[in-house]
Amino acid sequence: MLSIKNLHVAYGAKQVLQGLDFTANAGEITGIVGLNGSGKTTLLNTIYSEINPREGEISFDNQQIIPTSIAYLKTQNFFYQRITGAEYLDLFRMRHPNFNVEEWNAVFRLPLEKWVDSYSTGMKKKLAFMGILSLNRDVIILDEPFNGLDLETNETLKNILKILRSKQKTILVTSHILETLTTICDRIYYLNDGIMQHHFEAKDYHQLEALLTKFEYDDLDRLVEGLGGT
Amino acid sequence: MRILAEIGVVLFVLLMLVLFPLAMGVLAQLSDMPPMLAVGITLAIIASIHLNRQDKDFVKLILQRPFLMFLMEYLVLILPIAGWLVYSRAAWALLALVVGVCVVAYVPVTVKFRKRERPLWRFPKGFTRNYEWISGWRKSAVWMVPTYLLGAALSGFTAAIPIALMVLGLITLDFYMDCEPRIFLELYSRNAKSFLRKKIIAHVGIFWLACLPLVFLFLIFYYEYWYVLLVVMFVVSVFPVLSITLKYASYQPNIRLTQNAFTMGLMVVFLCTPFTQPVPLVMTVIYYRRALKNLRKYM
Repeated sequence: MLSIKNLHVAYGAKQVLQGLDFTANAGEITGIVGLNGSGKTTLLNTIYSEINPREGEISFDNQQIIPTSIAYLKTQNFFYQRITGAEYLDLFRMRHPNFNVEEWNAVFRLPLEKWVDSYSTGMKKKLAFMGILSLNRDVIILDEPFNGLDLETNETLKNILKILRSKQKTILVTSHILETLTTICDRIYYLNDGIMQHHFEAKDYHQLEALLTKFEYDDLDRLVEGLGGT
Repeated sequence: MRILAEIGVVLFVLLMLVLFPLAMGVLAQLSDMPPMLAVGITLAIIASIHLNRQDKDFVKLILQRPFLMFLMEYLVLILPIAGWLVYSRAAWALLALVVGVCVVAYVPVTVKFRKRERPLWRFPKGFTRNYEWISGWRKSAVWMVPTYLLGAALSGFTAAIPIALMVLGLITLDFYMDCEPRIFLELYSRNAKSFLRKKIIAHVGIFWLACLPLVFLFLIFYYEYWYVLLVVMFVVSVFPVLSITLKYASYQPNIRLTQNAFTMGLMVVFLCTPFTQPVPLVMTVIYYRRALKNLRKYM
């Protein structure tokens, strides 16, 4: 179980996370939603020890968490120029020689012999996902994994996550697309004002939708009218 | 001011101390050069910049006469040469330079190479851990191969191979500007010290291996100048050590360390200038310690 207690993170004087608590269980997919700038990525980077918290505790199975137990897919992934997809995955195979690139690529269908520079956003995401998948780690963190993916890969990714869940992995997913989370997550946390303001079990997801839609402005019609036009 | 803040006042003063005599040296060389030759070289450089710049379409969108903007930029660039031509009373050469720059700035052509989507040949699988070299080599092969071949072809001249080795070393400095994802560090090695040690040994080794044919050629023709080669090989071997330690001293996952280009340039100037060579060596030790400290945050 991944457990976070009283987490405080700040960038200079700006407090981003303010005493955040939450838990993610093994064998579950936990979703995190929140508005832009609410601190989702900061939270994930802190779990991965890329940001030092001012205060708080992050543990996995009652031990302080170490990055080597985490496979983390970032929103934007970095690739060296003029490196092919196959070469990128070779790096992961150095540590994990059992990862069968050919078989996995039959699922994702990437042109591995080409430069990664020539890939689309979605293809780059698939390649990075294959890399972190090969690590076979207990905690899997995916920041906006569905961004840029086509419909077919969206479904494939969901199915892979469901299989990983059945293998008792602890999976954390953020997304702006609520529907992608509600279809796979066992619980979803709502991050706002630096804390997990609400959490919802699958049966309560309709309340989450109501909560998120309440932020829509009532007078959008008037604003759009104000744009003028022909 | 931002660059000054990044390098610090001490380094800035040292830089000035080194650059001033260098600038004087360049001016002394220029005074022996025929003015028209200097104009020709300057125009060739300006034309190369102009034909390769990729912002022409964008500038066209925001300016009615992009030609004027290009012209202003190039006129600023040629100011030192123009000043020297005025000083040398070479009026015709000055006129030729200004007219030449006007013509170059007016050319609406951009050279675009067709991009390949896959490599000509693959590196062996185990070599992929040297991703900086794979990526760097493929980006810079267009410069590295001619330099290498030219060095070998002109090995009849004493200075050809040492110069080629220096140029090759300088080209590799750019290999270390990008910071890899954090997971790459972990895949390479489990702790900071062994990571740095392995990387430095591997990359100096690759450079030495690549240069070996040139080294042998030099030794065949000029065995009596072995000490020159020793000095050159020492200097160019410091390049990757310095680049690697500097890279990891300021490492943050997934960023390009553009600010390091200036520091690296400065170190190269020190390394190639008499009496200042110890500065980069001391800095390498300092950067090594900083790199270890910084990497421990990520490993």
